[in-house]
Amino acid sequence: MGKEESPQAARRTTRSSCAAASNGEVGRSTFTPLHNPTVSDLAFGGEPLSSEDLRSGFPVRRPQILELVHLLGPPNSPMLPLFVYGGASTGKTTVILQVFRHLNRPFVYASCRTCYSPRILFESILNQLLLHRKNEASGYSSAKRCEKPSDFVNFLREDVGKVVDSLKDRSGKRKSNKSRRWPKGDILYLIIDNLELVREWDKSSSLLPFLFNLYDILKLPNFALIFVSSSSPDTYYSSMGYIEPIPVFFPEYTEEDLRQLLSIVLRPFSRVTRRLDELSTVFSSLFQKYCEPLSDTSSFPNDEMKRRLFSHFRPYISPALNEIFWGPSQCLSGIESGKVTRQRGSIRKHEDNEDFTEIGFHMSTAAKYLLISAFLASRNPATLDASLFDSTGGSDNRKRKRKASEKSMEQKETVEQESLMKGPGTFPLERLLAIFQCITSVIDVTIDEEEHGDGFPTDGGNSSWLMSNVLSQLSSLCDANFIAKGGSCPLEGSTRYRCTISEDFALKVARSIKFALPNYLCRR
Amino acid sequence: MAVQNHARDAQNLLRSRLCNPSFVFKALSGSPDSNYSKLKFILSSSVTEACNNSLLLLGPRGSGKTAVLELVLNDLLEEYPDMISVIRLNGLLHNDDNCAFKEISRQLCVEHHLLFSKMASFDDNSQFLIAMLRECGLAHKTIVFVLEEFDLFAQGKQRLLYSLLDAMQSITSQAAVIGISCRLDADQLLEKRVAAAHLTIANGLNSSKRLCYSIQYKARAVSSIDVKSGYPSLDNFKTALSSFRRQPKQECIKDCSILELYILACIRRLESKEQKSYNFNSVMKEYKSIHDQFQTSDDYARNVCLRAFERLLQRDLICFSDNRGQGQSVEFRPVKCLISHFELQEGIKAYRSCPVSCFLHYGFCYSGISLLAGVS
Repeated sequence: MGKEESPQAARRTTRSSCAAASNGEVGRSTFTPLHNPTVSDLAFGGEPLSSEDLRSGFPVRRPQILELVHLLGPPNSPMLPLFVYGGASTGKTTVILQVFRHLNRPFVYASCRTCYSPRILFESILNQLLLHRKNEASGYSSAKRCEKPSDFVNFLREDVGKVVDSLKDRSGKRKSNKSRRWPKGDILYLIIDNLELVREWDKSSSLLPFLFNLYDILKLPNFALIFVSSSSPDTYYSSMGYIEPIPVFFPEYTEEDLRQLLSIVLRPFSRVTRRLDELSTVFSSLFQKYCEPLSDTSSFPNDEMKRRLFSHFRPYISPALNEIFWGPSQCLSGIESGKVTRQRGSIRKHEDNEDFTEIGFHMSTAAKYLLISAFLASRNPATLDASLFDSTGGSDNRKRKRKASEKSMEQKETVEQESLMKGPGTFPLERLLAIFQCITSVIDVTIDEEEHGDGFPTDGGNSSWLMSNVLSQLSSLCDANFIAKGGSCPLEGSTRYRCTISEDFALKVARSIKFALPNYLCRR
Repeated sequence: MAVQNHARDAQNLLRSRLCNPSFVFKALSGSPDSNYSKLKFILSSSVTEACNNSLLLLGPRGSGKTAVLELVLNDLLEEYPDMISVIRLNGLLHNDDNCAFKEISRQLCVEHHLLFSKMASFDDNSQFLIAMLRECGLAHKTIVFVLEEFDLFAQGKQRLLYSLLDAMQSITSQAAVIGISCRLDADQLLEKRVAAAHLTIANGLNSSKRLCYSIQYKARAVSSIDVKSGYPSLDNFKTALSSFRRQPKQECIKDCSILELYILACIRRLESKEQKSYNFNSVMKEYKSIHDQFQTSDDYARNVCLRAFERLLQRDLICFSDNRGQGQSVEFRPVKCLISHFELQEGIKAYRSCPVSCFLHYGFCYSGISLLAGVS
């Protein structure tokens, strides 16, 4: 894992500071002109990578590397466009860049994640071709302004021609610094990464066909195209149809691959086996996508000698599995507390784990009450408000104790089905404030000292103060996306709101202010 | 060593030939009644007899329309040097009228060594075009307009097409307009006024659509030639063929984790129960019911299932079936499954050690069998 990360860092610095590093300058903050960028910057730079290093750096990607190297072919041989696809985090970008480093071919790289609009994408590619850097000298502007595909094609023709000429001009080789390697071959490769994000852009319906047909439109002999995407090519086909690029598939790692990968990293970490297992679950949570075969994490540590300890691991594994997408520190702390309670002889259930019942951030009491009111307003139908929030401020359980007839059971089922499907309802502001006032009118006057500092009014009667505070809290809750604006009321045109928090979170909030939320929820 | 060098050169030669479309279609230019000769005849008549022509080349993608046209144009340029100028437009790039006229003017300026101003307005450009047509007509030079992706020019008001064809009719000009399109009904897209201008249609090039696939296939095989032996082996062709037999959805399913397969199976069960629409919450309910019924050890918490659900969305195995998507969280939006029941079954069968297959059929009883999930 460490090995994979450092080339990643090297790639990002290739344009500006890799050259500086080879010349011994670090000058980023100081405004001293670095050496003039030459065409040799288009290659990967850095230390050359032998094929052995390439293969050992990616032990499980050997067939894909071989396929890529074969398709790229010897220097100066043309190539049909390639389409590299596979799940997320399967190593596509890293492998391609390392292959290019190994083969030392000139390339231009653009990712549709960092270049989030067509204009930025085109200008980034052109900047790289023109060896133009956005720095203080140029005022952080691009070399050429390019918005439309037609301009892009015209500029590309000129610039690729210039680059190829300077590639062929070997006289530049003598002038360049000995530590920089001259790229091999006359063919320039364009790598476009994260292509699946283009589908969400505005002009994607015209941009995607344009990109796929770029090779045919340009008809440049010294130009080759590589697309990298995490969704397969059949999801890109539209009614227009394209000449298909050659697909190269990166499958997800299998269990054996995972074992191979993780064992390399874990070898220096061999410790007491129990800690090793916890570390392995933490590592697999770091490989977010790799731990998809969740069955893996329990099977991975089961080497022969650890099989007898398996019964110890089970209670650790299930809370770890359930928290597998949390950060490693939380996971570990969860396991730690789980371990502590186990020593006491009882295994806590996951939901009671102390770390996870607290809300991770601080909210003022007024905001909490407001949030609960919003949650109630969204969950309960408006017609039940009168019975739930009567003058005593409490809920009346009398109605629910009626015997449930079959029809009402069916009704309940359909209502439940609807509630599963429809989601939280919308409510106008007035209803929210009404519920809020009703709830807060019966709160206990004795509040903790620290909560008192939140500025929550204990008298509850100062309506003008309450209103301004509530409205400002409401807007901050909206900003935090706890309350979203729903559609507007058809009769009056006033906006309605919708509470988007989950029931678990609402229960947590209610618990923190000791509010009996389940009494108010219209139980289906 | 020498063998290797020769083999490498041979490989390079093969690759360059495969990547060059005009080479591929040169072989077709021989016969007299092929499209090549028809095209050549029409264009050369336009050059020699100073008449205007317009035609449409239609054919499926990859059938060589552009390639044949390029061959014809190259031959004509050799035969009649300095008498033809070619303006190339592409529907993908230039379907905006402003853009198209600007590009035409730019190319004309380049051809005739005039200075092109980027600031010229639309009117300036169109007047320039008409003036150039007139001049070239008087000087007996032919301008050939090649409009690729012609169907994209036929969207909207078709101003470009109308002005071109109108100009050709009204002023003394020598021009040919050639449209290339993959839509076989491109001529029906034209407005009446545009279609009133006479258009001949050279239809469907006979080479099969499979040509583009076979080129890819050969390219793949060639690229994997072992240089030492110097000859493509059967294995090379086999690997290339297998790369075309890929079924992307099956690959996708193989890449899924067990939890994701569970979710897909739950969706399948909901569909077989004839529930019209379902979202994440209904899927979770089904998942819990499976767990309760079968006591699997794969019971994961809700947030884990939600992440697996989102991964399925990313993989395009399921998608949202509503277009609004605003103000609703992922849990409530209705989804639909993008793979068929058969594909899912096949995928699960091919999956290694998968316990999910027993759940696919609603109502399937599987009591008492200890299920593999999670423990190898």
